[in-house]
Parts: sequence; structure tokens; C-alpha cells
Amino acid sequence: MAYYLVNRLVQFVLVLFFLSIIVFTIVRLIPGDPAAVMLGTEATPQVLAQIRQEMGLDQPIPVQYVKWLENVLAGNFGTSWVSKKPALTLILGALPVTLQLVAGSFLVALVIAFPAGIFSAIRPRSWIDQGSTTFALLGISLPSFWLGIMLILLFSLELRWLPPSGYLSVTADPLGALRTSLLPAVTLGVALAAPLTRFLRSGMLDVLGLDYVRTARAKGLTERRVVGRHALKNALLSVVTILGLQLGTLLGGSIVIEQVFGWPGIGRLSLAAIQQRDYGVVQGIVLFVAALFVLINFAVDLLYLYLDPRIRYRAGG
Amino acid sequence: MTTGGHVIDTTEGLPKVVRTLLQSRTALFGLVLSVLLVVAAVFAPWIAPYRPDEIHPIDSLMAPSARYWLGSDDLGRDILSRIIFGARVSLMVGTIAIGIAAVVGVSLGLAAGFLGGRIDGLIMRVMDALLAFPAILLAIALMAVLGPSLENAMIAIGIISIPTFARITRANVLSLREKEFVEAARALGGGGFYLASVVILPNCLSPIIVQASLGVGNAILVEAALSFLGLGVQPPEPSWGSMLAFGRSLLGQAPWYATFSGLSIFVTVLALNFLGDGLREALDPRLRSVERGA
Repeated sequence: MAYYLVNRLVQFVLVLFFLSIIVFTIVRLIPGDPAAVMLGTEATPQVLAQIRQEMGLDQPIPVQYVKWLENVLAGNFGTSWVSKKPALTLILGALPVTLQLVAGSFLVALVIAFPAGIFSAIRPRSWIDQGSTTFALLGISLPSFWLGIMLILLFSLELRWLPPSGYLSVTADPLGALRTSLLPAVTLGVALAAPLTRFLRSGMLDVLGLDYVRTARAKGLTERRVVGRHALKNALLSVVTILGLQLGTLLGGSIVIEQVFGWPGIGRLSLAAIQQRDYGVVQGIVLFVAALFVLINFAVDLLYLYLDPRIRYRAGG
Repeated sequence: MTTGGHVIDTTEGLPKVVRTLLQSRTALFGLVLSVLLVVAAVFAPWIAPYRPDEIHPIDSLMAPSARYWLGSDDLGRDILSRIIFGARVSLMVGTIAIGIAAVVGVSLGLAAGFLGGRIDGLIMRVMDALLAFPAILLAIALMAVLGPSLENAMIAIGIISIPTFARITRANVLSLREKEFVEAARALGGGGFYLASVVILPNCLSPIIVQASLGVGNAILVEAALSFLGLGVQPPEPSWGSMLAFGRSLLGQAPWYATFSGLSIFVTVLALNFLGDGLREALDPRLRSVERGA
């Protein structure tokens, strides 16, 4: 068990290390001198040299990397060359918006996937099963940004039930936030519900065929109890893993969906930074989101270890 | 000789694979639609009613009609023609990006699985790190570095698709490495490169083909997303993603614009996913029995 934990921790740190190298390399590959980009057209060679020295750009690349890594570890993700604010401040300012979208989408996905996945596993080949399988296939192929636009067309422009864009914080105005969050959350939630339904269905089907479920049925337990108490609990294991992995997709998807619905989250921030060639912020965002994603998957691994005693025994043995 | 037997086994199974593929209604639908799309893309200048950049100012934002089947945009350009020409861009980005990813990813996976040890560790940790990025975020970051263009979109999407190919190939190589036919080829004096590329590689082609067909659909989705964000293919080149972005701004006046450009992305990706799913079932007998048992 301890060996397993240490092993996972070492892997986690190694992935973070390679990740930092990739992010550092990507930003260094950007054509043009960052100091020149920052100063614009009014730069004299003297000022340029001074800024290059201040930014450490005159140092060898490995030295630059080590300095950069030291800064990152101290929580300094770089500075915006446009607003002169720390990148981390900008990211943390936009993060609640993205998290509200991600949380709403998660909720929508669970509401769709749980009944669809469970019922199609209980009644394989029924119309519910065929319907949910078709939905899953359609959902995987559906461009979420198009779905969002079609929802705006129907619910905002035609029916006039919901606002077409705009963001309200759930803490400031819960009811208003519900109205503005509904379309974006459904848009992104459907994309997550599709793979989740498939995983839940196959997880349930695996478990329902096992001996202990047959024993539970033989003991005369009601079907509701067999499914709810015995089967679902174990089928959830496979779902926990997929949820961790899908979170990355959800974070990525939110970049596009924020653009569709005009939400000022991480996605909007990164697009604005790219358009303004504000690479300090781009670098900060990419590193922050990727590290967050790795951290969540590490946490899911630990949760999995807690939930599935078989892994604990195997790891301990 | 043993190795030759294995390779021939795969080709002998080809008619059976095609038969299984054609038996599935969804796979057949995917195949027919994919072929139609390729034909439309290749013969676009002959099929499209107008040139994609042909401007008709008096016909600005016309609703679908006999003259413009899917309506016209703000410059009076025929949307159907732009969608047909847009298929060229989407299919080209999809296939070339996945081609890049397959060549690099399979080579890395082969090296990692066959050589093992430190090389395996190094390659797979870099792949893990690449997978740690949400795909679209990495593609956006790469496009920011490379600059928005058709070629760069192919490179960026190719790079983000490498790790999946590397992982699949490595997993298959690991299970094949110790098999008898590989041992036999080794005993006959086969060198490392020969063993990896001639003996092992042909035997792990099935999952690679399946991943490629599913990957093209995904690559088209990512390209559309990049172009939608203004980071992919640049106007006036017709791309479904940038057409959709422009259609979003005209949603009140010309809802058909966004509707049809998005629908073309959806139908194309759906067809490729149906085809990929069908190929997976046809090429992997184990999966077939599991699905039937389910």
C-alpha cells in the first residue's frame, strides 16, 4: 500500500516535471522577442536590452527554466505584459466563473447519465437501452459549441425563455445565476453525459452478471435493493475514474462554451491573452489548468484506492 | 516463416472483416456517408453550384430557396457551396493530422514497448505529460505559438493526438513481444528493427486502424473548435468552424447559416464515429463476443 502510494506520487511529480518543461518550451518557441512584443514599436535598443536583462532573457535557456520553475513553485506564474497584474491573480479571478460552468455541467451530466445508464443496463436491448445507446453515440459526435448556438436559437431567440448570453455569480444572485447558467451547463453537460452513460451501462452490466448479485437475488431481495444497494455501489467505481479523466475534457470544453455564451472565465481570459500576445498569462493558464487536471486525477487515484479494497490488497501484497 | 503466416492470417480475414462491417447498419451508414463526403470534397468544383468565394451582393442573407438550397451569407455567397468546399478543409486537416500522429505515435510506441527500460520510461512520461493537458487547451497553446493557419492546425492537432497512438501501440507490442512467433523470428537471426517493424507491427495494426478512424472524427471536431475561436483556418478559406462562428453573430437574421455549418460538422463526425465503431467490432473478435454477451 505504501509502495503503491509512493510509486503514484513519484509518477505524479514526474508528470508535473515534464509538463513544466513542455509549457516552458512552448512559450519559448513563440516567434519574436517577448521584450520587443512587450515594448511595442517604441523600443530603443538600450531599453530593449535593459528589459531583456530584467526579464532574464539574456540568460542561457536552462538557467531561464530553473529561475522560471523557482518562481512557479513560489506561486508566481508570471506577469501579464498588458495589465501588469500577476497571471495568478487574473487566473484566480476568472476561475470561479469556469468552476460554476463545470459544476453545472457535471450536475446536468449526472442527471442524464444515471437514469439512462442504469435503466439501459437493467433492461438491455429495450427501447430505453437502444435510445440511450443512440444518445451516447450522437452526444460524442455533437460539436458542443454548435449545440450551444442551437439552444440559444430555440430558447432565447424563438421562445424567449432564457437569456442568450451573460454571466451571473451563483453567490451574488442565485436565481439569476440559474437562468444564465442553464443553457451553458446543458450544452457542456450533454457532452459529458454521453460517455458517462456508456460507462455506467457497461459497469452495471458487468456487476449485474456477478455471483454476489445472483446471491442477493436468490435471498429474495427486491430488484430495487439489488440494483440500488449492491450493484450500483460497485458500478460507481468505473464512473469515478471516467469522471476524473473527463474533467480535463470539461475544462477544455468550457474554453469554447464560454466564448459561445460570453462568460468571463478562464477560456475568455486565455483567448484574450492570445489575441493580445500576452504570453505570460497564456503560459500561466496552460500550466495552471494542466497541473489542476493532473492533481484531480491523482486525487481520483487515491479515492479509487479507498473505494476498491482489491487494489489496496494487491498493492499491499 | 512463422511471421509470414501471421501477416497472411490478417489478410485472409479481410473479406470477413468487410462482411462484418457491412452487416452493421450504423457502420454501413457511416461508410456510405464517409465515401460521399470524400467524393464531395474531391469533386467540389464540379458538384458545388457556385464557387465558394462568388459574391452576389443583392442576394445577401437569403433564406434557403431553389436558388440557394441552404441560403446565402452576408456577401451573398452560397452556403451549400461553401460547405462542400469546407469538406475539403475538414477532411484534409483530419487525415493529415491523424497521419502525422499515427506515424510519430506508432514509432514512439514501438520503440517504448520493444526497447523497454529507460527509453520506455522517458517516452511514456512525456506522453503522460502531453495527455495531462486538456486536448483543446494544448491545441490552443500550440496555435498561439505557431500562428493561425491551415498547416499549423494540422500540426497542432497531430501533436495532441500522438500520445493515444503511442499508448495503444506500446500496449500491443508488450503483449506480442514474448509471443512464440517473435521468439522464432529472433532465433532465426532477425535484428531489432526487423523484429519491431516487420514482425510485430503488422500484428498490432487493427487497434491502430480503429484509433485512426475514430481519431479523424475527433481531429475534425478540434479543427472546427479552433476555427470557431478564430485560431484555425483563416477566412476567406471556407471552414465549417469559422462559418459557424460567423453564423453565431448573424443568428437573429440568418439562423440557417449557423444551423447548416454546424450540422455538417455533426454529420461528418457522426459518420466517422459510426465507421470507427463498426471497424472496431469487425477487427476485434473479443469485443464482438463481449458485446453479444452483454
